Amino acid sequence: MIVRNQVWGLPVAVEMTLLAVASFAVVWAYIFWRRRDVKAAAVGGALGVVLPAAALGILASELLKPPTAGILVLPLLNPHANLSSWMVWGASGISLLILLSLLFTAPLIKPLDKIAVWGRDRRVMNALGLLMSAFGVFVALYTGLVLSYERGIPFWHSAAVPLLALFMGVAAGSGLYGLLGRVETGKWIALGSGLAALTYLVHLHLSLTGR
Amino acid sequence: MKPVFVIDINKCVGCRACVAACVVEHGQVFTAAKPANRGKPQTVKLRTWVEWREYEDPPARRFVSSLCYHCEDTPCLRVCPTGSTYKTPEGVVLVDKDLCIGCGYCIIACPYGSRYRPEPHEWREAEEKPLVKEAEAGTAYGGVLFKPPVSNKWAFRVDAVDKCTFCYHRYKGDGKLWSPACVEVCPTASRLFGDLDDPNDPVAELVRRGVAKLARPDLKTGGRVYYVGP
Repeated sequence: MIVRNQVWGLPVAVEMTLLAVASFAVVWAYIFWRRRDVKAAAVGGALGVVLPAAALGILASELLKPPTAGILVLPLLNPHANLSSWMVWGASGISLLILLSLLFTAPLIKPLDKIAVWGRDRRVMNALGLLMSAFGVFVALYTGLVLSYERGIPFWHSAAVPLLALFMGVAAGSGLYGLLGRVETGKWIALGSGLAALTYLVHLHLSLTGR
Repeated sequence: MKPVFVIDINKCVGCRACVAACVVEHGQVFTAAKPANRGKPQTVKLRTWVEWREYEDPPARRFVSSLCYHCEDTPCLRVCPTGSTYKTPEGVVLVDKDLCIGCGYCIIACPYGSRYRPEPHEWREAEEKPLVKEAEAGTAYGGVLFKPPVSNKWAFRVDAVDKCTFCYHRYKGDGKLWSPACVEVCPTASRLFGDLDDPNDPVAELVRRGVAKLARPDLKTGGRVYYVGP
């Protein structure tokens, strides 16, 4: 009686992975900026623009009406937007993450710093960095919330899934800087990976026991 | 008026006349008939479908047909980002095909697998390999086509999610109950359609007396499709 439809396959998994990497890469970008490591901050900030934009592009390519993909940019502005849908809030969060990352990163890149004059004011950059980080964390959580909200796929319908997404974001964003040789992210890679694995195992166990 | 659908499993013989009537009425692509899809009920992408279950003692085969349950507590409506899924005053859940962008979130949210979206590769395959030679004239619609679909704004479209509408296009807006295509053609009266607000309606009476039950009350979605059967 219950039939599974096959949607949201590999492209959406790739999209969510890109979002996971970007989500905490921007948090690290802000931390590195506070430590006056501009080069490292610029990398995370740039990825905060590129990866979520690519994720939205993948989502757009999966639509049945690709010409309407524009409404995925700040869908909160769409008069028909359904505010009870996590996709509306998530896509709006991703759009704002792209915008804030762009505003944060532009003053850190040489040719652009002359145009991006707001970068000369440290208070503005602090505010942008904080907001960017907040939206990064939200985007990480969103990838879990969008899957877990409804009960169509019972394995996903769990409070563990947003937590899992958050921990995977910590691991992925920190892992990116680990790959770039920033050893200080090592303990966060371990913490994120460990918590993600633990959450997954607990979730798997509870699912198998039917709780 | 509160339309309600009752399916008597004891009467269903699995002829699939309901499926054919639905395909014809709404112009769906009959991809389920392709050889590659046989034995894979999860690839049956239609508004209504029939599965069967085998029993050993005593040996029996029972047919269970399904469609959109038109839930009271509607998961697909909640998640739809563009507001294309909506509910009529009668409680019928519909999709505004112009607003639907085909993101598939409603398909993920539906616990009954009642929604589907036409995948482009299937669409092309159905166009290129129609199973019935006579249907070649209908390849513009992508496969087996018995007659042009009844024109209505909820009919099958390749660029939007599709689902059962209880044949809402047949409702004249006069407060009188209509008859869905599948109910009309069911040869054993396994499919019944009634009005819960009508105290004299025999179909609604099955629901009121508890003879007809929801398929999955544990999911707490409610719904307008009830089953009579073991």
